[in-house]
Amino acid sequence: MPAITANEILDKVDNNTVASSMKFEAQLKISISGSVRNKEFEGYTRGEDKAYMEFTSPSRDMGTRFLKLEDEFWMYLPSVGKATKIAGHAMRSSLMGSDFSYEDAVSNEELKDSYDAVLQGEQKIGDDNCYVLKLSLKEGAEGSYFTQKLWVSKESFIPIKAEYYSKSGKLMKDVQILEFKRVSGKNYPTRIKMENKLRKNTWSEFVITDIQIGVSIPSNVFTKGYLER
Amino acid sequence: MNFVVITSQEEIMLFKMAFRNVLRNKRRSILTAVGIIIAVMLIIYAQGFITGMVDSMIENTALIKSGHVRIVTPEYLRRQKLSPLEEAVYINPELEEMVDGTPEVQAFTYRIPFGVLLSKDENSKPAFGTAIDVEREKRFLDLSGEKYLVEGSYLQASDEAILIGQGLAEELGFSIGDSLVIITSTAYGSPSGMNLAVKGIVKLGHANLDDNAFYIPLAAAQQLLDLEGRAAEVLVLLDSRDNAEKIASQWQEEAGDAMGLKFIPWQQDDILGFLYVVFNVYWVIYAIILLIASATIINTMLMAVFERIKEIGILKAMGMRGNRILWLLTAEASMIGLFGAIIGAVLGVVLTIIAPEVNFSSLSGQDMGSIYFNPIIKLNLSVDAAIACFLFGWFIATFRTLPGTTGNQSSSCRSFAQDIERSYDETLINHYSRSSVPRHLDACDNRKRDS
Repeated sequence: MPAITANEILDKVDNNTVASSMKFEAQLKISISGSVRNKEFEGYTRGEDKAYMEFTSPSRDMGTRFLKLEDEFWMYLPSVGKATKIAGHAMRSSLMGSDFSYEDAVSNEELKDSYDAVLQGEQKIGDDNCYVLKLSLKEGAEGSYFTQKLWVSKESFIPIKAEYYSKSGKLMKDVQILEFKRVSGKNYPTRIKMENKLRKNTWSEFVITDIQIGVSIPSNVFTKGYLER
Repeated sequence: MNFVVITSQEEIMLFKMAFRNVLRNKRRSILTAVGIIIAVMLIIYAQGFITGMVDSMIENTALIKSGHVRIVTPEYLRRQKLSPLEEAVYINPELEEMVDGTPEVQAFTYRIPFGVLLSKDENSKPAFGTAIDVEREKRFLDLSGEKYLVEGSYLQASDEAILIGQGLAEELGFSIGDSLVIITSTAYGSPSGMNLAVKGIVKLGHANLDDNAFYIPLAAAQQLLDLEGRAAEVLVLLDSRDNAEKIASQWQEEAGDAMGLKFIPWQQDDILGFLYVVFNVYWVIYAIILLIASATIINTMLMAVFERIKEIGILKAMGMRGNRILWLLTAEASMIGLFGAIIGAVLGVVLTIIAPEVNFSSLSGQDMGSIYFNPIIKLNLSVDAAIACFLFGWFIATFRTLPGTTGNQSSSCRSFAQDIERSYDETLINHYSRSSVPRHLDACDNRKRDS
């Protein structure tokens, strides 16, 4: 048996993937039936419940903004000119037509708060030796996925592969972390590929081109006024 | 029963006898005829009603949803429940030329159905939008006329404006000139929105549309949904819906592969296909009505025959053979049936003319899902159907006698005839010499031979 426990592995994963605050620029590649569309955006997060995203490209999406403010989720469309509150469940819908949900994109919560972990063994994925963790949603906790299976690299403590399952046991999403970057003492994932198994012939990639962790972000960024500016 | 060939002279005699019998007991004949009249009249009216109702549902659904022929891409068809707008049809001149150049085509239009979140101030509600080609739509589901447009005015092709269902407008407090916001996703999943002015309020009489639906010009929707130069579907109206399968098949063969399109006749539409099945169920109902009418006619006619058991027995005792009695009764029934069916058919047609509509206005606005039921049903009676109903009434009335004279009641007649014969033997024959009543003895001999 490994000398490390499931909770210790999860702690290390959370330590790498959750940041107190973050500023980033990213690309979103969306492939539908072989046709790939690229979008660019920038984002800010602070803690677990504040996130802001603004699309900068292509021109059609330029100026589209999202704000997560605790349990509320707001969207601003330049063509409408004012913020629209989106229902909570919409957080689980597709981000700009990609295989990522809004929640996947802005979530900054520690896994150990919502999931119980069980170490199922070890497995080699490519060149990486991995711990295999099974996470089950804690009673009363909220989460998009009922169970998760993570393959955590022994070296980087990044879940280089993950599978998300529904309550019925159906595989919903298949995730691969293709690249990570050492930033502010963390191994932070910078290239994530996701396949929504409920769709056909699609995949999406979330590529962080620039990232700053632990930076100070002005408070007014996380306000409706900033969203509608 | 020993059938003997009936000569034409006998036929004339029996026909005259039947005619006299019909006139002899006028009350019985009239009562029998009244049964036939009512049955035939009701069958004709019911046929017109059922056909009218089914026609109305199919034509309404064709105008609102499917056309007589719907043109989409195969992938859109496969995933149509998810509204996969990215699989929309490219509007191209070749397609328009082919559709427009088909003589059976009465009109065609482009549409994009899509879902939105519709809001005004703090009020918002999920709603169902349809982008319409405002000019072509006038020859389709014409929302510009008084029939549907209850307030405001119709759209222009370049408008960023909306025609909104009356129930939806009332729920969200919209009136003409108000501005509202629609939020949706483009064909490729990006969020998209638009400010639109309320230009008109429409009422189609279907709750699911009036409470949830709105209409915007095609160009505005193409911009909103990132579908420039495209439409989700092309709907075609033909001169007759009966031509749909033929035309769809012709187009499919001609251009299906080249243009990458599917041409779907209304019979293959999910809702209309269901109605098509229901249409056959209606014919089952119609058959049940016919069965009930038949039972009424047969019952009336049998009562008339049962009432005459003694008379038939006497005829048998007097030597009339079974087939002659059958001929006689059939001729009588046929005369009454002909009279009843003619009057019934005439009254049925007159009733259809006097009351050509059945108004179910109390059902107006009821949510019937995707079945677009028109509360005012216009009866649709064809000459063929009226003639068929008339022939049916006459046929049933005429041939109901067959089981009557060959079944149980024949035994009753025969038994009665035997009683007569016995009485005859015991009384009359003792008083007369055989030579003086050769006809009666012939009759007895005949019966013995028959038995």
